[in-house]
Amino acid sequence: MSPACLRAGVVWLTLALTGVLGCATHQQKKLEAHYGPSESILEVVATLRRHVPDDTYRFPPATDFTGRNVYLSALLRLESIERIHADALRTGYMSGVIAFSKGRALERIRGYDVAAMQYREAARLDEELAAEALRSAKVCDGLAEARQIGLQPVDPLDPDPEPLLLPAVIDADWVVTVMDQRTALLSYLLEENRDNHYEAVIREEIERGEEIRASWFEQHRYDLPNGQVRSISELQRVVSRNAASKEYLRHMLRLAELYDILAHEYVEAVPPVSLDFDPARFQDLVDPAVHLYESVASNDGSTEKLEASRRLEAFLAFTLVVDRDRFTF
Amino acid sequence: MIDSPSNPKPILSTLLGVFIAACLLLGCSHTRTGVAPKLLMPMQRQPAWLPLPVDQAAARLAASALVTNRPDLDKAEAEIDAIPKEDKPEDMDALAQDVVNATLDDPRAYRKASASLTRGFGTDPGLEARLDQVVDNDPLALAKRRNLDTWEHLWARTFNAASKPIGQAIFSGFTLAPMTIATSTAHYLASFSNDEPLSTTDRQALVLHREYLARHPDAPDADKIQAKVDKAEKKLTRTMQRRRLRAAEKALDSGNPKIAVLEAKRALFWGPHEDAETLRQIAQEDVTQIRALHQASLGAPGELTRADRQDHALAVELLNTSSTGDGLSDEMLGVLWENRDGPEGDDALFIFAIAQKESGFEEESWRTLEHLAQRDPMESTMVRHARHLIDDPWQNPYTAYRRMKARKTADQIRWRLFADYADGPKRYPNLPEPLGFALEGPGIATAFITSPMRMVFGRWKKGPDFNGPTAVLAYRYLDRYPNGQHNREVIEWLFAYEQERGNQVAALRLADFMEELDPDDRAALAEAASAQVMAAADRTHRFDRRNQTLRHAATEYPDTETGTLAGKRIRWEIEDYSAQQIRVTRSFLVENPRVAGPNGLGINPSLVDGELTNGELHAMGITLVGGRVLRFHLLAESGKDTELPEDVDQAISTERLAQLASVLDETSRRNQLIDPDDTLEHDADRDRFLERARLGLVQRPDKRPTAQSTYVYQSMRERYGVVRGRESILPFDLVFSGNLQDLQLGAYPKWRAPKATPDAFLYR
Repeated sequence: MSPACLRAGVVWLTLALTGVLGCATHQQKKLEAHYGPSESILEVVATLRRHVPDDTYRFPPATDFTGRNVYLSALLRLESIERIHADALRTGYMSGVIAFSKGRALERIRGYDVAAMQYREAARLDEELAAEALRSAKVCDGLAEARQIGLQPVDPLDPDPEPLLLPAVIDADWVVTVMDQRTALLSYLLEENRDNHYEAVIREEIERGEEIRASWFEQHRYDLPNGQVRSISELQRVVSRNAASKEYLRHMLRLAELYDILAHEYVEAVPPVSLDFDPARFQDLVDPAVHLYESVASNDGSTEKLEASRRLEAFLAFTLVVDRDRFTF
Repeated sequence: MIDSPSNPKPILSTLLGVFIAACLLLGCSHTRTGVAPKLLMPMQRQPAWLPLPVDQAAARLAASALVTNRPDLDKAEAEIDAIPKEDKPEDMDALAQDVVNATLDDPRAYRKASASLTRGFGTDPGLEARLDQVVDNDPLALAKRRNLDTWEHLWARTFNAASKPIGQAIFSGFTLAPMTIATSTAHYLASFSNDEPLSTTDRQALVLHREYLARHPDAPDADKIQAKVDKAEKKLTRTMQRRRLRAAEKALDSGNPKIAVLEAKRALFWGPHEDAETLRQIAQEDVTQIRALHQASLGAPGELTRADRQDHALAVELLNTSSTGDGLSDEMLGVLWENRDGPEGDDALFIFAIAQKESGFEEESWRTLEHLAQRDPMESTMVRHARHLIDDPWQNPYTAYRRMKARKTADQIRWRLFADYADGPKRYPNLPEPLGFALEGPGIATAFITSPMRMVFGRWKKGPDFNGPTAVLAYRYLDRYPNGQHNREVIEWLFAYEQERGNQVAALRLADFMEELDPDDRAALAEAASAQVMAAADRTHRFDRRNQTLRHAATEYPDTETGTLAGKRIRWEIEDYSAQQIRVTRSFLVENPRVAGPNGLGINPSLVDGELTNGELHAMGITLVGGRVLRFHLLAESGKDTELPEDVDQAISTERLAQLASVLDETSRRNQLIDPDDTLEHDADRDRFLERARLGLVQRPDKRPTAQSTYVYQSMRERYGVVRGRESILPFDLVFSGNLQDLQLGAYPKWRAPKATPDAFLYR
């Protein structure tokens, strides 16, 4: 090998080694680097902004790189950044952006009243955001107002619950009327927001109202005339009106569970060994329950699939132990 | 009265008060040890900071992106671009571009833009990882990957079927090669019998294609994808119908026509199917036939005989004694015994057996029924009643226990001889049984030949619990017949069984019924039982449950050493209890200086500098024990991590706690993003505590045991050691194998099948 070749080889080797070592140092530096306040907020805003138009009525909310709900994650990260970079953010140059972003995140996790406050703060602090922030605040006010109408979901573990909304106090007609009022207000909001991301938010809220209404009928089915039929029809209403919803399988599962519970209650009240047991009536409960469970269980990729298939197995086992001479599925 | 400033008494008393308050305050700050190094640095406000032009531009960019003001967005991006590199953070351009991309409301366009953004040299690894996740989250690309997985599974199977016999032939010579190749080919072909029309990975692809169509119904390739969906759905229907039909056939073969009807109906749920309909009808006919047999009633005779009058008298006596429990009269028993071989002999024997049992002759009663059950059921209707009583494990638990014991002993012997082949060939359940035996014959033979070796060396290996079902029946017998004739035998068997499986608590309970047990043996058993409860307490994560278990050990076994220890432990645990147990190790603090530094915890740097002379944290680090209190685990005087630390509790300000919670969360999540091995495990209680800490809402510790988190933030070194195990970059493993079937050695590459995705269980 000539000296020139040798020299060239040494030069290339040195260059290569320098490159490799340089890259390693650079990579190390990057791994240790952390964003400053502006970069951190830009990162959160980019992630949040990307998911603002998402149709969260039809599809499950996106998750960020940590696996958390992207809206909740954005809110938590903004709060963390505010704490970590408190000194830098004291000048307030990003305050409007932070408040507006918090509003966008909060409205997706049902914090409408707080979201409206954040929007008003953003409108006060940042001129560029003012128009959109005030419009969003108005929609959030509307959503918060609608949410207050009629029944509210009840925390079953609340040791000090609200006065009971029993049929003795309120009747079914009142429930239907107020919940229709809520839906009407939300439908009005929906008409005004057909072309923006609030369409999905409002649809979700309408769906929740329908669920709450169905829950009330389900909880009070023994206190109302024709309560069982009414509760089934209310749950069927939720299923049929929300066929496009991401919660569709959950609604179907809930309806199947009601049939399942009714079948159990019927067997408890009228034991199969008794002469009053009516196989046809029992069959009326078994068939829809099996069909609904089977329908949900046939949907790959959803957690409801597992729940439905296991419940179906349990339900079929239950029907097998119903007196063998009294019932054949 | 108002004291004048010149009055010395109030001044003195004020000074004394201040002194006492100062003493108390200082005393509270270190609750455990008298002398401690300065643990935390004072929190300092950073010097005034004014946003630079790039920060102002970034704010304008973010605002215009949030309201989708395109002209202002472009303007702000141009402003950032125009700022010289040295005047802006290194990643600002890429982040600004990402914000602009985020306003592209079509996810496909965003993915495309993100893909080009990650291509640049020197992109921040956090941003790169985040964008890579976005780019990878393309339903069509994922569906393609899942479809490829199906092919790769097939390829891996084919490759391995060829490489193994070739590898063995190279090592062991080519004499046996034809046989090895033939066997491998046969197994390869047979393996297709286990395949379904639509594999799990193809089902995943189907769902992804459906999602794509739902999200982009107007996409240019929607028709093409719809065709794929239609094709896959047909295959899915075939898959599910085939599964249900197999289950129905199996149920019918094993004499469960009701389950067969059910499974056939489930097959029909997926659509019309001729075989399913036929199977349903056959099973339904079987059910009808069985029901008809159940409902068969006794035929009434044409005219009354003397025997009928006797039957009437018997019926009257039976009804009269039915509620009082009195036995039959001697006269009636005599008549029954005389008629045992007569035309009504079966009835007589059955009633006689009942009378025997009621009189306490249990064994004799079962013998009478056994005698009756031997007769022809077509000639006597009572035979089936006798057979049912004998076979019913609830009515006759002792016989059921004996039978199960014999059956399980046989199962155990079969398992010892044939290991996994004890229940016959199971590898290809969809092939005819003889073919399965032919294919797995060599394996069965080898298992049989090597059984002596397993019996010798496998004794220390825990095998299946063959005696579980027998024990259930034995306990049932004791439950039903507390004074039964066979109690002693059953208790002794159960005692041995429970001891063998290490359930000393149950053995001790049984020992109380064994009068002949030596008191010393009983005392040793009680010690072992209390140790078992103590071990269960150690395994219990929740404080309250653990406490309950320890209390049980202390009260149930007070005269044992372990019981006494359990009592002491309850006391220690209550004394040491803290609402939270979130720990940050020293190594984590060293590896993540941002958490330890002034923007995080603000710990005294001398505590993590490795110098023992100026005080050092123990490897355990610090623990957030609830409220605003931190527990510093300091190295003991010996300076060894192996010794227990000296703990110092210190309350910190709400502001510092909020800062620590924020930086801890941000850092650990960024670490996870950059390095997938640095996972932040899910822990809802930890997250809730940190969320509340960030908002300054943890003044009052949440003392509910279910709200306690015991999460530990560990460094990568602590998790994986010095060298992290890495998966080979080769797509196959090199395998060295020895085969006892044909005494061959081999070395060959084995293609790794693609790993199942974590959500694969939702597609089965």
